[in-house]
Amino acid sequence: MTTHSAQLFSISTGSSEPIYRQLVEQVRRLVAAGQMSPGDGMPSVRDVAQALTLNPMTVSKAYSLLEMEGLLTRKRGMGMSVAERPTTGHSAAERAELLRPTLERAALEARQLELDPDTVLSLFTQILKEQA
Amino acid sequence: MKAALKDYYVLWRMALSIRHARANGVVLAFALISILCVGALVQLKEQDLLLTAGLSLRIGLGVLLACWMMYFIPGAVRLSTPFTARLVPRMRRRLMELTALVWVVASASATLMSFDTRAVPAFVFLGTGTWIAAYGLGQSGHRAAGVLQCLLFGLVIFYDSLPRGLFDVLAGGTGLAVATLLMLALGAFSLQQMFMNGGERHYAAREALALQSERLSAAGQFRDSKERSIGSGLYLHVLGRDCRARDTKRLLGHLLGAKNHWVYRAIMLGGVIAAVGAALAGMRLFASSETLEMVAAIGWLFSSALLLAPLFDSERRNVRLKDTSAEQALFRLVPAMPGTAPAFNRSVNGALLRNALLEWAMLAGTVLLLSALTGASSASMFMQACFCCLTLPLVGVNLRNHARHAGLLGWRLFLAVAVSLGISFLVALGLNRTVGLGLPAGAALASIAIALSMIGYGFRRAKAAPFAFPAGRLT
Amino acid sequence: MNVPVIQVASISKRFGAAAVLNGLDWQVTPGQVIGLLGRNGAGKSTLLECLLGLREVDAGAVTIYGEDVNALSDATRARIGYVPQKSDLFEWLTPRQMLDYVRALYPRWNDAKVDGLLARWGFSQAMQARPISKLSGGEQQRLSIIRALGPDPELLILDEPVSALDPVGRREFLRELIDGVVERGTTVVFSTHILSDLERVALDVAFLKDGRITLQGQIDELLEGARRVAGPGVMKTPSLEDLFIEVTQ
Repeated sequence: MTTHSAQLFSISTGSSEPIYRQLVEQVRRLVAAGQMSPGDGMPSVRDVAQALTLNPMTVSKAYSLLEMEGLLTRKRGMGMSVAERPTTGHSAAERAELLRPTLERAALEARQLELDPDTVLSLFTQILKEQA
Repeated sequence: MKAALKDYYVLWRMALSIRHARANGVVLAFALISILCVGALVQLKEQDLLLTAGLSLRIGLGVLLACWMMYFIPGAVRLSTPFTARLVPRMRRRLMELTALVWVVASASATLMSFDTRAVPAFVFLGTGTWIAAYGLGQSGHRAAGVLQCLLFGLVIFYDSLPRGLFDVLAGGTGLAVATLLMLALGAFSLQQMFMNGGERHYAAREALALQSERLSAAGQFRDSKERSIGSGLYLHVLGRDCRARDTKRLLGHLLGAKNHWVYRAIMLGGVIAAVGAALAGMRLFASSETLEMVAAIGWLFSSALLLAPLFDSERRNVRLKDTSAEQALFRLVPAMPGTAPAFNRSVNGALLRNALLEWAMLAGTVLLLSALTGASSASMFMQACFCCLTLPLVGVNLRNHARHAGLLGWRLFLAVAVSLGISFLVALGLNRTVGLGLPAGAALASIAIALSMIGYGFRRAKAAPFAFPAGRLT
Repeated sequence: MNVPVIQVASISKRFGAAAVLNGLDWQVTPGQVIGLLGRNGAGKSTLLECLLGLREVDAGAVTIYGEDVNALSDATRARIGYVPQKSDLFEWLTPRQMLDYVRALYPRWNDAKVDGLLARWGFSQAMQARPISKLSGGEQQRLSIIRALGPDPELLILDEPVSALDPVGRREFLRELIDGVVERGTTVVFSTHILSDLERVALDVAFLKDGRITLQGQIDELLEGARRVAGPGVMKTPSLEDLFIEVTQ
């Protein structure tokens, strides 16, 4: 039962993604990757706000959204922690959905470079094989 | 060659237009007018056309050259910034060449023009050359220039009383040559100082020049200089004491800064009393009785000059009121001040009046004390007191509608003083004729009445006026 | 319980022939942290000055905590902190003297916070003894902010408070804003050109254009709502900077 520190998160200003959404995405990714296990304590709203120099309301909004999604739960007297999930872990379909934003960006670039889908797919397969 | 001439022309126009946009035209017109005037006068007197022509042309040329130089040299110095000296190709060189050319032409023409007159051409040559070089040196801020110019003036004024031998040497061959070499060396030195080639000293010189021209501007004369002195130390002690006491009225008096606070005036007057008192004590012990009587008789004239100080005080206060608009905004939002316009304005005017009255009282006290020290009679002191009262109306001058009017009063102030004095004397005359009251006493009473009515009027107007702070926002 | 802290009702202000504010309506609710954005010369400073009653408006009315700004009570003024654009106030005094001076004019002053801020924001003893005119622009601005925070205000109005600060100074300012100000539920209105700071600390933003507040809302919602179709199958989501440029066009 580790309590994670607020240093785990980072945000960037000037992007088209609102900051609360960046936090939500990061938590989702960390939980899906297994870096945050069910039952781990989350850093308090105040700690995250101080570490990232953010308005606490923004952090609170991100946490509320994650709580509604079911990723986080609030334990009485202990703040937010990662919700217990079925040990089967995330389905492949759910994890694949997480990759969607990055793939959409790659697809946009491919369209701009006027590449046909087959070329792109073979390149992607090649890269995946390299990194495996 | 042609490129050089074109550069010279451009630089000439630039330097002249820094001082004044239409300098060229102004100078030409002025020269023409002086030619015509002088020509007419000489023609009327001498009736000799040739003489008139020669003289008026000489004067005209002289005026032209002098004016051009007065505009060009300061302008050229201002053109020489570290940037233009180092990074604009050839500009520094051209400026130096042009200035040297102007120098040579001016000295040569002055010498040529002096050939038919009483003046000795050699001296004219040396004198003009040295004076122009000193003038240029002065423009760049060098302190030796003033000394040189004073020396030259001294030589010219006391020409007759100085030994002949010195001048004979200068007029002769070797003496003239040596003097010319010295003058050329001075010229070269001046050129170096006027047109520096970048570096720390250049920047320092530019800052000093900017400070000097700001101080000579209308508002700049009344701006506080940021110096620390004993006066500041005592003022800061009073400031600390008022802060601890949390007295809003006194704290408001600190808003305008150290120099406008009555403590500063007190210290200055204390110094004056100490110095003059010591001098008078010395005179009492060592000087003869005639000197003492003379001092007593005319001393009051000098001490009355102190009474001119309120004029400058009120102008200084006006400039500060205009400059501190950001601090005044803070004062608007401070809970210690009243929240509605009439009460707020009353507070502000009260603080200003308090400062002004204190300063006036201290001045009057100093004047009376000094006359007592010089051993003046009680009648003379009474007249002194009456003169002090004549400047009392100035105390009410700062009680304006600050929101609408801020800044220098200028000629309006002098007009107000003149009107006040005029009314006082008229009333005094009237009182003298009717009741037989002495003129000074009558004038003093009238001035006090004027002051009271001005103050009353100022406070009444403040009730209806918008918030005094920030000053000058409703123009 | 959402009585607005600041209520602006159709104010207008002209400077000569130009109308700087033109029938402007605005409202700031308690605890809001709102950024005021606008082009250079749009009238942000004028608006903030009119909000505090430092400038007269030609038409309309402004109330703060329910009181008209031309007749604010002492209690209300004790709750307001203002950082003007010009930061070298009281330049003939030293920082210590200036803070003592302002402290004598406020009923409540948080000495601990002021001393803490002076220490954290780089004001050594030597610097505290130098006249303000000798400090750099950034140091003067930081001092100005400390002076405004001294009386623990409930309404903080800042006019380009960080324009002369380097990134470290700005980060420290934001940190203090979040810890010491936002945590206590203070209402903050500030105008700035530095959008990254706004994204971090402000939840709402208002755009001033043509003498009116043309757009106001939560930053997150405005950004998401501005998502639009830019081409075949391409979605464009603007950043706050893009939104600014587009709205104030």
